[in-house]
Amino acid sequence: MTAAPRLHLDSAVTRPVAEEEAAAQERGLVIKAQAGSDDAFAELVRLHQRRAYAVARAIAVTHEDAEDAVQEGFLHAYRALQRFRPEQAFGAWLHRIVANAALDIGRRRRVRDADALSENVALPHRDPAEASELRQRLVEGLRTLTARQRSVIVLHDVEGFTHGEIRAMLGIPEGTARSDLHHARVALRRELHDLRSTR
Amino acid sequence: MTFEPRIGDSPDEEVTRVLRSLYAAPGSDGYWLMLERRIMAGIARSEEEGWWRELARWGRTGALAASVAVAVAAATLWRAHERSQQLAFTQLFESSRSADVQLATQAGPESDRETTLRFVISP
Repeated sequence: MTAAPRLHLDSAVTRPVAEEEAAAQERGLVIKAQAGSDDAFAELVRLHQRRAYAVARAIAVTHEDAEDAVQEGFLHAYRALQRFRPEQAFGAWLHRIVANAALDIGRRRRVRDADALSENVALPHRDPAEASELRQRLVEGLRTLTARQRSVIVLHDVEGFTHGEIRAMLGIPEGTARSDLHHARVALRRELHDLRSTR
Repeated sequence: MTFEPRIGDSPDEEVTRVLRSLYAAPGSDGYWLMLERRIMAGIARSEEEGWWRELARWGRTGALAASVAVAVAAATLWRAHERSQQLAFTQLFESSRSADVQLATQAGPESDRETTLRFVISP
């Protein structure tokens, strides 16, 4: 037996063990939170808020809306915690709740202020000074996409969620998610085509 | 026959890189600490509001129960009052009837007296 395959085997075995440990730790936190421990829920917030934000940001129009969606999502999760079965994946459950919160906020915003929406689409919340042409063209390209296409391409290509996970989060058929991704990629490529050809 | 890959079926690395920078989550730990605090404060506030809502709900239920109790008490008192009035009326009626009987009985000796008087003064 050579060292290389053994190392490979070790890392392959170690990763699931670490994942299992993390899952067991998370299960323990969920059970404690269900028993009324706010500290345990705060720990769950600490563990999941960044990923929850990424989900919300992919759906929400602005950074502020994404933040609101994360807060609302955690609040809904806290209220619904007794209905959650600890053997399930807390993250996946939470992401669905946060995605729903982000979609709700989007709907409310559309009803409230349709004009302001188009001005804010996909603008970065940080780093406003950095405005390369590619970046600006991409922002323009994002504005041509539907909200769902934009969410799908960000969730898939940026955040690495699978089509199945996106289906569950956005409540759309997997085929629709695939088709949205395809159209979004084509649209963004088309937007950048001129720029690339002049380089 | 040649295989033509469909444009857009694989992610464009450059697009993905820019998208990643556009949608990047805030990096500072301070931001996440503040967000966590805001989330937990929001939950605490909502719990408190829920407690007050619950209290208000119980208050409403209590007020309703008190109103029902007052209504039942008022009805009971009214019925008791009516019953006592009816009883008083019945007693009065009964006593007036017995008074008639008494008067009728008392009328007897007076007529005897009258008879006697009439007998004495009669020629």
